[in-house]
Amino acid sequence: MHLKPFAYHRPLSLAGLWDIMDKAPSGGFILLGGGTDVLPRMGQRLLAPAALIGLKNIAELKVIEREGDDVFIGAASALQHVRESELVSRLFPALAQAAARVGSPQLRHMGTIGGNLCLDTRCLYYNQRQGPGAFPRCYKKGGDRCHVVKGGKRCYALFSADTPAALLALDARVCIGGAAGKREAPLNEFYRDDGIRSRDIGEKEIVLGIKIPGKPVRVSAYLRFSTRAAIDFPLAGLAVSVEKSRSGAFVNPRVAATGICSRPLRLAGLETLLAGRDVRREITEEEWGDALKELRPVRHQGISPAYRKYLFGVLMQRARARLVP
Amino acid sequence: MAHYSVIGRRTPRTDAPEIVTGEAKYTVDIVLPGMLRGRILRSPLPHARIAAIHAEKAGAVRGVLAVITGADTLKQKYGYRASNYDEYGLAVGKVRYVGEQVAAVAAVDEDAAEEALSLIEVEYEELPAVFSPEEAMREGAPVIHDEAPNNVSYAPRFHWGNVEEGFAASDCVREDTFVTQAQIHCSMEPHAAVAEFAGGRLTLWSTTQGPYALRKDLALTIGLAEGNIRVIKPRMGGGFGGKREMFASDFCAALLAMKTGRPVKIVYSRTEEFIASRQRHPMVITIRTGYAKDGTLRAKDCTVIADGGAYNSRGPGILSYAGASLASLYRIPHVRYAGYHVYTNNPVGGAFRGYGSLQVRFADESQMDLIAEELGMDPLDVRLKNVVESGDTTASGKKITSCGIKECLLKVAEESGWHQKRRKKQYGRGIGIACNDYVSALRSLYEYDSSSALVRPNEDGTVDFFTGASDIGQGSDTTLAQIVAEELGVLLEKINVVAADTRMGVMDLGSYASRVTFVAGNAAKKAAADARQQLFQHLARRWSVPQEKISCREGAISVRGRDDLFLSFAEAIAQLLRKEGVFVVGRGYYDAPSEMVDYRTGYGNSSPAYSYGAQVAEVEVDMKTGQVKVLQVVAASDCGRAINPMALEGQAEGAIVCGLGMALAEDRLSEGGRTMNPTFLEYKVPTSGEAPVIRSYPIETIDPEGPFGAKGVCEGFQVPTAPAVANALFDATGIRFTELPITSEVVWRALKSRKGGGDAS
Repeated sequence: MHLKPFAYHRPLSLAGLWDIMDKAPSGGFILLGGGTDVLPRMGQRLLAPAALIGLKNIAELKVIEREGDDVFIGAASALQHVRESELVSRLFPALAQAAARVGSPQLRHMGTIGGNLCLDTRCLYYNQRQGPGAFPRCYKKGGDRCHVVKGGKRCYALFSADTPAALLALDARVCIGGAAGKREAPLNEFYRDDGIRSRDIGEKEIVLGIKIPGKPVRVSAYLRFSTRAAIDFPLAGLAVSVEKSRSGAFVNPRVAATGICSRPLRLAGLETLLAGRDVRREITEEEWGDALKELRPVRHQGISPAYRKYLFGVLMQRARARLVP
Repeated sequence: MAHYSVIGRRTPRTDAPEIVTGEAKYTVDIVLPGMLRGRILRSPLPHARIAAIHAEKAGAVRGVLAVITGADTLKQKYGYRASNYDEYGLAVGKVRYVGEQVAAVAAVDEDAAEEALSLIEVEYEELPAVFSPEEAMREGAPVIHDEAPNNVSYAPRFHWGNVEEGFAASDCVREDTFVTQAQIHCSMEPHAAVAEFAGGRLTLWSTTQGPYALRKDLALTIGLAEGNIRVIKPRMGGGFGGKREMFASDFCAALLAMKTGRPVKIVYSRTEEFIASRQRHPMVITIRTGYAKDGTLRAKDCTVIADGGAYNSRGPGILSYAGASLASLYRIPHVRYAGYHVYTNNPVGGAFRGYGSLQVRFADESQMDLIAEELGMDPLDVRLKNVVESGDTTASGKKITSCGIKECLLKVAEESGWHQKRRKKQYGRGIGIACNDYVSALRSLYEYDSSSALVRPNEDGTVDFFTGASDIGQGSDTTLAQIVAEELGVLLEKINVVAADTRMGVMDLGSYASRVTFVAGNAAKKAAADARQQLFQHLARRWSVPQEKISCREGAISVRGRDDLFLSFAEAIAQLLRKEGVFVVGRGYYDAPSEMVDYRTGYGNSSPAYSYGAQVAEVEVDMKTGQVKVLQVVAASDCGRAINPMALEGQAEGAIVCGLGMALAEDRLSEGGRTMNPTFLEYKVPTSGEAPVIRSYPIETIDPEGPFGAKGVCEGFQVPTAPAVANALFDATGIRFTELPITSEVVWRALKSRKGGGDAS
């Protein structure tokens, strides 16, 4: 893979990072976690940044630690690190399970949780290298159409990172920072259903990490379906969590999906279906069919919308079984 | 087998340490002084007239030394037989698929080359395109090549026996249609070439399965005499049929080197591998079979419509072999075949492990199970009842010599627990069987099917072994060295393999048709025997003993009945070289004793021997999602003799996993002729995570003609995998899948439509 020349910065501290970002021309740099998605895109000539800024040498972005009842995971933590963290496995099994399913062992050692959170959307039309004029330019390539949804008014590229679904189901908050200071927002508000700008973040801001509430204690699980055991993005990924209770009922359930639209999505229909219901009670196809009625996946990865929707239903059925104590 | 010291042993490839440590050098690693990088501009359109190409801006880019288009070439077509030549090294006048080579540049580095490519302006006049062979054959379809107004470039018609008679004599007749998809080779190493031109002579290092065949294509298309072209095949990372011919990388590197006077390297990107190399022909196969109530096959009538893509490549040969494979595994007196190689504006179909027989065998082996089901017979028994036997001559003229197909079937049944598992039905779990035959060389394109070798011992006891055969990653250098070491009586590590370089004068047709062990192996064995004979002749004279009493084993020469006469091989050679001026050089030549197939009738004993195989696949189906997990594949192959059992297992494992990819997942997604998934992310070639437990067993029938009794096996291993899986899926679900790939969505739809509802469980 031959890459176009670019500058490479490796700041050792956040202060150093803000300095580099401040001096960089607008749109001239890309932040690099593990590079497992950015570099292939550069190889395909989808991205041609003047500079890459690597975040992996900034120590404060690599911590996984308790902050009171919460747990903070630094954005530059390797997915493998997240997966192996005792704290994460014990408190947030859905996150550990999601991290364990990303890519392959090599990719998990390189890839970071921040990179996974900020993973760009994908589609078969956009994510390939072809000669000039192969397809008329789509919205994402600066053109005037979407090939996935013919006549579509926006980009329908698919968001398919694993860990954001788990984090949504865990009520996580995203920590964002820049030279001007830090802010925090519910992860659910971080994403937008837009294939081009699926994350709400300023040009000179970065994701510092993720904060997951340890209270109330939640039981959680992440399941995904993919063609191959490794390498693949999920065709459907679903995380579910529920407050731990003695009643054996779903208390404040959260269900979140990935591989469904241009953002990771809370599935309100399923949450309503589950709320207050006995965890042991199976979910019928009719029930999840009703609960997912509003869901309109579009055709991606050669998979029909009907099949994709069905997969979410099956994953819901199976995820429920995983929550039974 | 105790009397052999080198063959028959599980022997790691001699080059394995270099490969796994990264020390091994491939074509891409070659660097020559002043070398330029070449890049190829490819068509974005599936079918278009090239009105004009403006290359001035590209040529003016700093660092660019040459830009070439079809206008700079001899405009000489090449291809399979002269009558099938239809492809240019660089497009002339028209492009016929997305990805076709239109122009090439040579520059001092990749960046300059890439910039130049982006500045070449091609004026296209887009033409209507056609992407399905059925549509392409219809009246009024766009004409892709003027020479084939109906887009059918080759249509073999074979008829052996009399099928009407055969059907009349049948108790039952059934007709089924099967569909297979495009599969991409996915060699780890992409196509690459380095060309150097000096003193009127061209040297080309290339990822090729046949240096001599490539030299021929080059000579034809660039106008140099064959003798002025040297083709060298460096170490290779896979071919699988996808590197049999000349590619644009070879042609353009050569031409650019000639034009600039500097060496030029071209390496395909993974995208180019997917869109612009070759693919397995998608086929629609309709088989009508007549049979008796006891399962005896009487007649077979088969039509194959193949999507050839934009050019012939090896298509005509593949369509012929597809037909030939109908009559060589089972005893059927009456067989008729009609094949259609149809041009479309898809990527070019070419040779790929299985060579057309794989698609037909998927259909035929699926239908064998349908017949068994209809008759209430065990699929194993229907096969055992019909398979060929040693001594048979098939309706198509194949003379069956060594034949272990029954043993293969019985072996996989026994090792898989076939009978117990068939009895113990479990919904969602299934077991299926399929078998195959394969050639061990194929005399179809050339009047000869030969190979040659030289064996030259050195004074230190090492042995230089020159062979024309191409190790393309399958490990044939090791296998051939084992044959030489055994025949000569020296240790394996003494053999230095020097291979696949046309300047060495030991010709070989190439690595294809599972011919290397058989044909090049026999040549190597003869060369080693010749060297030994020369050596022993001198020793017999010196010692005044009968020559036949002398033997050499593991580098030690001894004389039967004379304990006083003893010499090491190294000493013997050294004495001859130093004191007697005797230069021992063993020559070996082998031309397979097969017959040229009459390409009009398909009749003829095309191979010197036939290998056989059988596989049992066990699957588990997720009855909700339709996802199929292959639990185990048990394989047996009649390899004649396992020269290297470890290499044999490696071949089995690679081929079976490739077969599973074809059965369940791999597919070229396309839209308007464009490949939509030209990446390892979206093209679902199996990973180690999908690989099941694979157990493979050699069945040794010791072929009378093969080297030490060996036959070819590499390709055949992939043939029965997909039908074994499809048959297992039928056992698991009661649903017959007739189209490949059988993806989870396909299974889900089938389960759903059978239930008539949503929940398939």
